[in-house]
Amino acid sequence: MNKTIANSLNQREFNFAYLDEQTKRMIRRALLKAIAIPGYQVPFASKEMPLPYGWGTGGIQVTASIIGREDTLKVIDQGSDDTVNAVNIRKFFQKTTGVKTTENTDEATLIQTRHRIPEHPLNEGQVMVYQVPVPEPLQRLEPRGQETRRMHALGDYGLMHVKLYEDITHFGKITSTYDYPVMVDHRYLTSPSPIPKFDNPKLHQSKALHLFGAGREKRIYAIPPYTDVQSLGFEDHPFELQKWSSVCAMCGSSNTFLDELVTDDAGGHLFICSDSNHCQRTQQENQHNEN
Amino acid sequence: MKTDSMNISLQTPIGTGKELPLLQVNQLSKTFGQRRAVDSVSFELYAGDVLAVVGESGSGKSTLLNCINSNIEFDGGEILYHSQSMGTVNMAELSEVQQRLIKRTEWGFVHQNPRDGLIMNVSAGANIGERLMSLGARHYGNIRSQAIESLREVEIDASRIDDFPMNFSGGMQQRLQIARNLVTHPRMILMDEPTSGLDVSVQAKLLDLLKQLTQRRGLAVVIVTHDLAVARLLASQMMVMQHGQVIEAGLTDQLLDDPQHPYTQLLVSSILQG
Amino acid sequence: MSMNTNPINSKFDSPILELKDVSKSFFLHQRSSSPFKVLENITFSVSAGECVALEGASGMGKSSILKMIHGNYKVSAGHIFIHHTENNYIDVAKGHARDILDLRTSCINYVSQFLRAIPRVGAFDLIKQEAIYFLQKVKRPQSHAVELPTLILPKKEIQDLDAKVEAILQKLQISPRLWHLPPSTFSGGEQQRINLAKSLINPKPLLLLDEPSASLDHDNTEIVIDLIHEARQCGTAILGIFHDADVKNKLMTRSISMHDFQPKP
Repeated sequence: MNKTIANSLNQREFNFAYLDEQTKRMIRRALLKAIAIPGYQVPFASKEMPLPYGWGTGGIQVTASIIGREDTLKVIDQGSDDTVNAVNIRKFFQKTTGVKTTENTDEATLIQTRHRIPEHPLNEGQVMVYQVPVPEPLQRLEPRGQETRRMHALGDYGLMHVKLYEDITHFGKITSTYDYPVMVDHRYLTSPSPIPKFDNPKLHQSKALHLFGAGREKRIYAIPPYTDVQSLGFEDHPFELQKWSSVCAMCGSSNTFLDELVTDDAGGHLFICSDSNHCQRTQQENQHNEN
Repeated sequence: MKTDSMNISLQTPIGTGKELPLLQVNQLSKTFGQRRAVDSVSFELYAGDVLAVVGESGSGKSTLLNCINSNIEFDGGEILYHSQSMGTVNMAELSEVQQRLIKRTEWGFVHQNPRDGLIMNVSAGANIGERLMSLGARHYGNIRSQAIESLREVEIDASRIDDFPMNFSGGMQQRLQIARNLVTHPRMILMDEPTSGLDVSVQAKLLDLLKQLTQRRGLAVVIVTHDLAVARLLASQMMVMQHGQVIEAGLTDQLLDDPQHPYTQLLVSSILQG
Repeated sequence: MSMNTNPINSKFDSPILELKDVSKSFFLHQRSSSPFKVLENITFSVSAGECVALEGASGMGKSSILKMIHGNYKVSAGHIFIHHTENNYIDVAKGHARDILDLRTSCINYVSQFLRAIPRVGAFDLIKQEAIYFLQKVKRPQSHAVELPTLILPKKEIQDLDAKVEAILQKLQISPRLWHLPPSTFSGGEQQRINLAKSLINPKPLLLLDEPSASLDHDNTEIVIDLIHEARQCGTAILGIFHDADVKNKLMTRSISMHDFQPKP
C-alpha cells in the first residue's frame, strides 16, 4: 500500500471511544432507564461496530458510552485477561481512548467481561459490563416476543418454573449450569448472561454496578448496586452451587471456579482457576506466606 | 387459595338465601364487519347450573363463549361476574392483571382441541402444575402431589404424570385439559365442544365424568355444542342460538321434548333416532 | 321392609299438588299454521297419602298431564302448584327453569315409560348416582347461593348408599349379574324396574307414575304394588296412570276422568 495513504489511515482521528457523541447519549439514556428499572430489558439502537455480531458488540457499545479519560479498564474473557478476544477488545479501547488498562481486578474502575465475574469481590464505584448473547431468559421456552413481553409486564413467570419442574422430573435436578435465571429486585426475571451459576451469588447485593449489553438483540439491562438478586429454585429443590472434586493445580484454591484442562492423550487432566488474575495473586500470596 | 374439600353436616345451613347469579351476561354483542355474530344475548348463570348453548355452525355460540372468556373483544353489552375476592365486577372494568387472575383461578376454559389448552411438550404433571406455579407455588413435592390428585379426579392413572400429552389419546388429552383447569378450584368452567372429534364411547365416558365433577364441585358450566344428545346428557338448561340470537331457552328436556320455536322444532326433529 | 329411612315431612291430607285451569296446546310449525288444543280446564289436587289415578283411553293426554307437572312439557295456560318448603308453593307453569330443577331434585319422583340411560354407566351406578344427587341436595339445600362448596361424601355414607341400592335392586329382583351392565341392553321389564328403583330410592313428597307395571310380569307387578303402597303409607302424594285395572284398583284411593279435560269443539 502507498505509504502516504497508510500514514493517513494510521493518523485518522476517531472520536473518543469510537462512537459518536450522539450515539453515546442514546446509549446512556437507555442505561439510565435500565438502572431505574432493575432487570428490565430496554431496547436501544445498536450500531454497527468494527466486529461482527456475536463477538461482544453490545458490551463494547456500553463500555464505549461510559468510559472516561480517568478510567482504568480491565477486559476478561472466560475469566482470563489474555485470551484472544480479551486482548483484542482491550487493544481496541487503548487505541480509541488511550485510557489506562490493568489486569488487577481491584485496580479497575471499569471491567468488561464475557462469561465470568471476577473472584475478587467488587467495590463501590466499580462498573461491570457484560457481553450478552440472548437477553431474554424465556426465549427458549417461548419464542414469541409478544408473549414474553406480556409475561414480563404481568410478572407471570410460570413457564420458567415449569421448565425447572420438568428438569427435576426428568433429570432429578435443575440442569442449567450457566445463564441460570434470576429474579432481580423481586420483580423481573433476568438472564445474568452465560456466566456459570457459580457466579450468580456475586450479583446479590453487590456493591458494584452491573450493566448488560446485547448488540445483536439490541437490548440493554442493568442491576444497580445493593439490589436483591435471587436464583430460581423450589423450596425443596433449592439453587445449588457447583462443586469440584479437586482444587486448583496452580494456587490450591478450593473456593473458585475451576476450568478443566486436558494435559495429554492418556486422559490426564487437571483443574485450574478460571480467573487468571485471581489465581496469579493467590500464588503470589502463597509464595509470600512461605517466605 | 381455597381449601380442597369441606364436609358439610346436615345441620349447617349454606348460603345466605339471597339470589345472586355467578355470571350475568347483558345484551352481549359482537359484530364482524356487517355481520352480527352475537346479537344482544343475555342470560344468568348460578352455581351448580349446567347450561348448554346449542345451534348449528355459524349460530354464534362459539363466538359467544369466546367473548365471555375475553378471547375476543365484544362490541356491546356487559359481563358481570361475582368474584370471590371482589364481589360483583364488570369484567370490562378490570385491569388486565385482574382479568387474567380471575380467568386463571376462578374460571376454567376447555378448548375443543386439547392441543389449544395444553402444553404438548412438557409432562402431564407440569401441565397441571403450571397454573399453581404461576400463582406462586414453590414446593416441588406439593405441586406434584396436587397434580396426582387432579389426575385421579379425571381418572388418569397417576403413573402417567411424567408422560407427555402428545403421547396421550384424544380422550385422555381432554381429561388432562380438564384436570389442568380444575387444579385451581374454579367456580365456573366454559367448554367449547369438548367432545367433538372423540369416539362415541370415549365421548360417553367423558360426559359421565363431567357430570360427576360438576355435581361434586358445585361448578357452574357453560358448554357449547352442536350435538343435542350431549346437551341432553350433560346440561339441565339450554339456549338455542340462530344467527347470533337466542331464540329459545329453558330446561333442556323441555326444549327437546316440547319445543316451541319453529327453529327449535326443526333442530330437534333432525336428531337421528337410534 | 321400609325403604324410607328419611320419612317424608308432608302432613297427611295437606295438598302437595294443585292444578288450576290448566290447558295445553301444541303448535307444530312444520305441520300447520295454527295451534291445536289437547287439554283444557284441568283443575284438581292431590294430597299427601293419596294415590290418584288418571282414567281415560289412550291419546286423551294422561301422560301430557304428568309431563306438565314434571316440567317436561310447557303449560299453555293455568297454574300447577307444588308444595316446596314449609308454607311455600312453586308454580311450575311459570316455567322458571331453576325452580323446576329444584323441585325435581327435592320434591318430585317421576317414573316415565322410558328409561333414559347414560351409555356405559351400569345399573347399580345409575341408581347410586340418583341417591348421591339427592343426598347432595339435602346437604346443600341452598340452590341460590353464589357458591356451592365441593362436596365429598364421607365413606360411611357412601357405604350406606351402596347398601340401600343393593337392597332395592334385590327387592325388585334384578339379578346381581346385571348390576354393572348398562341398562340399555336390558329387557323392557328390567328397564322399567331400574326406572322404578331410581325413583323409589329417594323418598320425595310427590310421585308421578306413568304405567309403572306395563312391561312387568305378575310377580314383579306385585312387588311394585307393595313398594308403591309403602310409599303412600309414608305420606307420599301419588298421581298415576295405570293401564292394568287390577293394579289400579289395588293402589288408587280415588280416580279422575280425562273426559272433563277434553277441549270443547
